[in-house]
Amino acid sequence: MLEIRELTVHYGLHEALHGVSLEVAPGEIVVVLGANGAGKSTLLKATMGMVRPTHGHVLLDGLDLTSLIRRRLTHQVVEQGLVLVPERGGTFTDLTVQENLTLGAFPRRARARERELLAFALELFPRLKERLHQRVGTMSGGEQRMVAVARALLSAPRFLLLDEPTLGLAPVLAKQLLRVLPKIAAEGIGVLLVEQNAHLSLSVAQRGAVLSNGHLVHAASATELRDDPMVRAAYLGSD
Amino acid sequence: MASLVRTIALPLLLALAALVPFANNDFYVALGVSIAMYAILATAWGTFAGPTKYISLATAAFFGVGAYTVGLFYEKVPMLLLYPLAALIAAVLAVFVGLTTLRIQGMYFTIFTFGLAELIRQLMTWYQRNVSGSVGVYILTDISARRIYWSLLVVLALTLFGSWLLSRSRWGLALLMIGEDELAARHSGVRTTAVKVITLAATSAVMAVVGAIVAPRWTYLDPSIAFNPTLSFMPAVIALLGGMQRFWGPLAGAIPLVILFDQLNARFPTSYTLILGLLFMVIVFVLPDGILGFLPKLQRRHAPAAPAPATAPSTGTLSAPVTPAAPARHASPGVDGTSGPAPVPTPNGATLLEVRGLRKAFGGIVAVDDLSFSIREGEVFGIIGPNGSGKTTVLNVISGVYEPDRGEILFLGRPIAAKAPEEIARLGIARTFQLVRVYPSLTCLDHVIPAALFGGHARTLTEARDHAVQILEELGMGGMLAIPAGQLNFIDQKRLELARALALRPKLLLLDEWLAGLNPSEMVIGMELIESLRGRGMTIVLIEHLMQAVRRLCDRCIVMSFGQKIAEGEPEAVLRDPEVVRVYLGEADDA
Amino acid sequence: MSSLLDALVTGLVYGGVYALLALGLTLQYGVARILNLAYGDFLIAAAVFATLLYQRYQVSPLVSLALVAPLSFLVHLLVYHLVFVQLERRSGSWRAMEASSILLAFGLSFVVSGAMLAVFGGKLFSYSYLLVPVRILGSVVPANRLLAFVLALVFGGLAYLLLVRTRIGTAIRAIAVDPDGAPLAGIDVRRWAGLTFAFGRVICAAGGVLISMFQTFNVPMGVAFTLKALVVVIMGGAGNAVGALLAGLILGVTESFVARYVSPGLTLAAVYALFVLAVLTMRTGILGKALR
Repeated sequence: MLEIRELTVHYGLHEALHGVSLEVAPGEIVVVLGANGAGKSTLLKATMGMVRPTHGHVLLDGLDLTSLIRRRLTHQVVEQGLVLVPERGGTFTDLTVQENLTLGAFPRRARARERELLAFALELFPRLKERLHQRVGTMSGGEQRMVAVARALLSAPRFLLLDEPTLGLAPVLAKQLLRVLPKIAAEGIGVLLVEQNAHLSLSVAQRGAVLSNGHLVHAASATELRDDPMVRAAYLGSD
Repeated sequence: MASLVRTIALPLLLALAALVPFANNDFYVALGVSIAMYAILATAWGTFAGPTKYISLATAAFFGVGAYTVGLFYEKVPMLLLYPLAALIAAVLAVFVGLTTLRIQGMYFTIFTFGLAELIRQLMTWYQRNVSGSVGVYILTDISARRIYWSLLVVLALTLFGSWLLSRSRWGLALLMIGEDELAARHSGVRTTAVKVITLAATSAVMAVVGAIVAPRWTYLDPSIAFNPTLSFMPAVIALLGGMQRFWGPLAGAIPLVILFDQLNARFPTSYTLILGLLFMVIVFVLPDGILGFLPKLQRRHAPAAPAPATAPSTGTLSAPVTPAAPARHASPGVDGTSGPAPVPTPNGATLLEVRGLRKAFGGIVAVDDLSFSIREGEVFGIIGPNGSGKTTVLNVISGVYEPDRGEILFLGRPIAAKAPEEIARLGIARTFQLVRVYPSLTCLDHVIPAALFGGHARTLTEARDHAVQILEELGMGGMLAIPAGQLNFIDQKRLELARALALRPKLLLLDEWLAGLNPSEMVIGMELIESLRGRGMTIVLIEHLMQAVRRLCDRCIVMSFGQKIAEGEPEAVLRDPEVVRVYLGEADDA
Repeated sequence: MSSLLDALVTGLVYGGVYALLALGLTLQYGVARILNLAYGDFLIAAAVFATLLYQRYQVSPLVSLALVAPLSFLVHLLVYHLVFVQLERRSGSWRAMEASSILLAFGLSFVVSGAMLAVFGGKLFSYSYLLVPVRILGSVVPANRLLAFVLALVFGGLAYLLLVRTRIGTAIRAIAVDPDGAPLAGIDVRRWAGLTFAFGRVICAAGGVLISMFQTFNVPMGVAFTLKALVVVIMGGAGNAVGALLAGLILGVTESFVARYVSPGLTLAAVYALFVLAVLTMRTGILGKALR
């Protein structure tokens, strides 16, 4: 179980995240929705210790990661099994696909299962198999996202955090990418997804939450959220 | 008060210093020459490196050029002509160095200057071996140590005065902006390369003049004296110790250090360089201000946001600034606003900006693909679309940050696609940034003045100042003129960016999510502000995520999705378009 | 004809060593983000070490190499953690860190060269090791140069393989590509940056020992070596090993031709000319970014 408790983050005077609590169970997909600037990325970054939270705790299967996070020891958080695919990033563009995947298994926890995980990742994204020696920077946006997710999988995550993986992707590609998530969850990996693409992400998630101005304003099952006017309002600002 | 100290204390001090030779002690005169010389070199070095943070390691090169100008020509050319000649040669050299390296990262500049003294030393040695037959020249003049000392005092006074003037002038402001955020400076219309190169040339010329003045002190000049690495090293140490950009800094640093090293050199001649290096490392490391005198502002930037001072009005005081001239929009009904050329009637009709077939890709990712639209004078034009759909890239291409891969951008009928940001700013396109880019250490007024100056409207500093004050007052920031931007709260920083953009007197204003991050009540005031600008006939491009703002403010808008335009027209109609709804909410999953 | 060949062979020998030096420097700058202006002075220190051991105790430079490598590694690991990491903590921002680390390294170069100047002054160092003529391509080359060249290529090649073929090498390159993203792959950036900085220093020390085998040198020459290594890095493109090798060879040959046919006093001018050319025309190095 990944437990985020009362997480608060300030950027200077600006409070980006206000006491957000959230839980993800193994094998579960949870999506956090919200408009631009609502604090979605900040939530994930604070969970990974990439930004220092002012208050709050993060627990992984009961183990308190807060001290690692407050010292911003992200690499040790990864070593515990929390892995993030950041917005647009998550790949080393000057390196080849193969090298990126090798780096995915850099954490010690992942080494023993490297072959098995590599096979799993390439099964999910068969397209990468033909492109192992291509430099990631020369690939299309959709393919780069695949590399990023595959790389994260090779780190043997217990929980996978994804920051707007469909950003800038054509709908077809976005759909392809998100349809992979249930297969990942089926392996017992918990997925915490941050998205703007509400319909699509709610179609793969079990639960969802809406973040607005740094506050978690709404949490419900995915089916409830799908027809919720609040979700619509969050994007189109009307009705 | 401080300027009073300066105006009285400096002449007094210099007058006192000028009396030193009458003590009739050669030791004091020699020491005085060293102090004055290093104080000038440090001032010149700090004048460029302090604000811009470009670190030059070539003081010895320029100094040596000056010394050698005298060494080689003093018998043929009158002394008084040699000083300007030395200055000229150094300036030409500096322009070459600057044009080669200052357009790119600071690292290349530092590396280039690192070996420059050594290069010129070798060239000079080669020249003397092959042309004049011997390394080194004798300089036999009747110039006494006293005269050198007095000349240096004069140059010191002039340099201090010049550096002080510069720091208060438009140039000084431009230099500061370059050091803080070069891109934002360019969007304020600052021709950054020219400013850097000319300043480097001027300070290098001063270094060469010092070399020329001091040269007769050695009766025998050889390259290892004139281009001694210590000459590059000491000014940096002195400037660091004294604190750069402080009027007294170079003097405060030069006096103790030169005396100390004079003693060290006398007692431990062999370990002199070692001790110098150690001391330098200690200064860089331990100096309470941190490293380089520029630290007061850096600290403020990275400090976890000190609470706003009592003088700063609190949040939410976006006091309805300009008379809200324009009432809310009423949509003209019956217009089908979806894709295709929009037949929407607009305020003036004349085309201000036209974008045709624009394409921009980064690596394998196409950010903007075959995009065309045109903006008419006086309208508020929205660009909306989900995150990552290429909106900010469009704005960056228009404002000159990126050159498009394909396509044309016509502003008032003239192509601007290949122009630099500062040229585009000067033509009358101003912008704000999605993530606020203000200079934490500069006051609000200092943010706005350069834009008024370099935008080409105000001719004098006073005029620019008046203009800046007026704009800030209009935006309700009249009470914050002297407050450093780092102490402002978020919304005031956003207003400051807007003020900076407005000071260019733009014909077109590009706002990149200017309303993002504001709370609901601030938002209302923010929207009123944009409406009032529109009421004054300003043409505005609005990149926005907040649909209620788009509905209320925009005459027309386009919707982008993965780099392409998927809809165009009036906001109400466009936002009802099923394609747009789908793009925003994502596809309803049919599988 | 034979003098042309001589110049070419000499140039290639020097070029191989320059390429090795550039590799060490680019590792330090690319991964640890420290522009090490004391590089050439540390190189001279290693060269002096080897010379003294040979002159006083007849220790082979190959043995010196084995001694100097681990020593340099340890010293530089300490320097990195005690000096540069502390500096980074103080300065807070990367830009401020870059500016002050340059100045710190500049001071360090004065300390290192100053310490040696205090002991040795401007004295010239040289020793004759393996001074046997070897005929190669119709040109006569002293065996020591040939050995230095071969060793430079072997060391450079090994370092390159380490970077390209191993997981740790890949991680190090990943830090160079994206230092902010590297922790997300579980890479402890500070630890590996420190080790890479020290490793770059080992390469530098090896280069110093190799140079001592065939070139007469003195303490003030450190600056020129730093500069040459920097120019090769810029020409080759930061972080580009193949580019560095080519750039090193070009620099070596150019220098050798200028020394032979123009004037030995103008070699640095030739270095600068290449520098200006590189900066003006090829922002990403002679091979661009594609080859690596």
